Amino acid sequence: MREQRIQGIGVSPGIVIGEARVHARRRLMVRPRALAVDQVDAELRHFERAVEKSRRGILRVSTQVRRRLGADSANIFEAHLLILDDPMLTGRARELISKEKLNADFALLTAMSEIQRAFSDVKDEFFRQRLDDLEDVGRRLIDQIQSGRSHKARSQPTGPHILVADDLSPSEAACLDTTRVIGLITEKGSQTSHTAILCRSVGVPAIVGVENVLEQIKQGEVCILDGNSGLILVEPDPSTMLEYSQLRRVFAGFQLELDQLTHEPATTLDGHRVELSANIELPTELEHLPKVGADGIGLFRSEYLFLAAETMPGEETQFREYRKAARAVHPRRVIIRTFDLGGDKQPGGMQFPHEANPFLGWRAIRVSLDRPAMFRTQLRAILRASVEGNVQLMFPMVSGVVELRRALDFLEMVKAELDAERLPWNRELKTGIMVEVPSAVLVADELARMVDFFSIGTNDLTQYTLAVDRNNHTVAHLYRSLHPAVLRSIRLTVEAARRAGIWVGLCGELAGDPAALMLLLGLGLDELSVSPVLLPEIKLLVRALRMEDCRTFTDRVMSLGDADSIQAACDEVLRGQFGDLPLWRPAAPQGDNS
Amino acid sequence: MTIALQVRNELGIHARPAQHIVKIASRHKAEFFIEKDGNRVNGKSIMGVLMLAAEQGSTVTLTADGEGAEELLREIQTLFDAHFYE
Repeated sequence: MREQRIQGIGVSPGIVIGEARVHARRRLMVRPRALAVDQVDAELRHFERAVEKSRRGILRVSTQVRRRLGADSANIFEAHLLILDDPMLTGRARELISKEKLNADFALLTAMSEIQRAFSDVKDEFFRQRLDDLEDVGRRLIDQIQSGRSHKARSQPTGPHILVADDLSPSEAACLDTTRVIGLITEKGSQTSHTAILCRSVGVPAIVGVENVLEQIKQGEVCILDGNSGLILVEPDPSTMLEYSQLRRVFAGFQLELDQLTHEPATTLDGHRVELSANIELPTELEHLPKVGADGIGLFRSEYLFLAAETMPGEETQFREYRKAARAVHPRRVIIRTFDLGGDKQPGGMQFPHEANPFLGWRAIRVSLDRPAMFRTQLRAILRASVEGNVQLMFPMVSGVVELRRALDFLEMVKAELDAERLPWNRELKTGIMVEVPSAVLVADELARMVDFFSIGTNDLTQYTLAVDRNNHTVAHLYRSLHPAVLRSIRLTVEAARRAGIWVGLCGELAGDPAALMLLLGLGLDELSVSPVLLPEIKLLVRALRMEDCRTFTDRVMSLGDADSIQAACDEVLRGQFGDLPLWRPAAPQGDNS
Repeated sequence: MTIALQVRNELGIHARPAQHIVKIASRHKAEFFIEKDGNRVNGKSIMGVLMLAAEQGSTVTLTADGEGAEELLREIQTLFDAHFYE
């Protein structure tokens, strides 16, 4: 058989070679059997054992998810436990076994379909979603009933393998056995999906966006997965195999080199220290942060607490999460950005208006200012966590002075409230804003007088400056962070910060692009905040650069008038300086806007 | 005994409020039913409670019978009054 090449989107770097294990949702095979009267009791006992085994299974998954994704994501398993004890499900199944003398799995399937039928009158999608949970629990139970009877054992490779699936739910992703799963290929998912982030944080190479993946890759086929380029080679030729074995060695050697930099500072050859911090999106990334060697957290996307959960987390939950982040990086700082909701981040359970232009609509700080109860809860939690000493606060998507003043006034009010309750908070708390709207760039001098720092969000700044929605495939190619208009905006912002004597960082994806690094250093940014997986690479590059060269290069590039020329100049200098390194250039992601 | 209560939280009786209701109901021996728009479900069944799709502003009728019925309804009333702690 000839090798087959499939192109996907690499979302977690690394090269692995292994056997494919296909994870498809099996069709339920349940047949009715009439029980003899004297078999009923044994069938009921068999059923109870399956229920108890399922309960232990749910508790195990719940613990895993709590550890990797946080307490709020685990809440769904509490619902699963209640479904397991639901009189309409297991109660009804018991009745069908004893009265109708049906076999346990068929009784359960019957109870499931009765519930599904009863739900057919429910039109509201929000309530209908719970049918997925019913399906989950039902399948688990039926599996237990059937395996307990030692049905045909499912043959699954138990050694290391590459997992191939159409999609993984966050809980499935959280339960990935990373001692055996050496790589992941899925049809759905994006650069910013939970699965992608999780794979990056645990160092499992992954490729998403492969159409009809279950038809293209079959169980047991040998695959090469190149997470750097997003290329999959199914049943590779011997020559390809050899080529990739070598590539893999180069990459592994490079990883080793990166690992040795963990405790080294990001300092240029001519002694210029750059703050290199991490963007944090999931609790599991906190766990892996120590080995990355970051100067703290430059962007803590607090909305993850919200998106993974069904409802708004309370003050205590938030407080604990913020404190955990603060303690994880102490004494280095953690910058907590208040909820950036709206746009493409609409958690289930929160009502968002239908807008013609959601990105120009009810988003981020606008949502917070309109929802004082939610905003207050979050600010209280952040302020209480600030006693750790290293917590800083940041507002997203500020577009002008009036808006910022409202947010700051609100913050003062919450501080006074804590004082009245004699709850402590850090009086030295630093407050900053994201600069990601063109209007904020143009009035940056006014805004700089009101805050302690700026962090430039290049994802949104690019889309707003160029009027390009990068999720819109028709215009996505026009999305260019190296457009001179974006770079001049960055320069204006840095200059305004300098004049006001505050520091300025950059936390968009541009910060993790090796080709943009010299330019960003040359523009005078004090801090770069990047995804943890990219951080070691950027650190290595910083340590091999001279600030003087960066400035000279930047002067030259800033005189270029178009994105193509700038991109070409950046690529050329990167090739010249680091052409021999196996750097990971993430594919243009979809759907994230920091 | 029977009481009628209005659902006042923004999202209605979705997963989490339903969990609260079922957990309270399951602690009591009394039989417990919830009715909305002519649909009557077992209040100890989470899928049943969700099936009502009780949205904000709707009214549900709660009936409890047997040992601890009064206390059960009192606890449920407190839960509704607290907007299911949301």
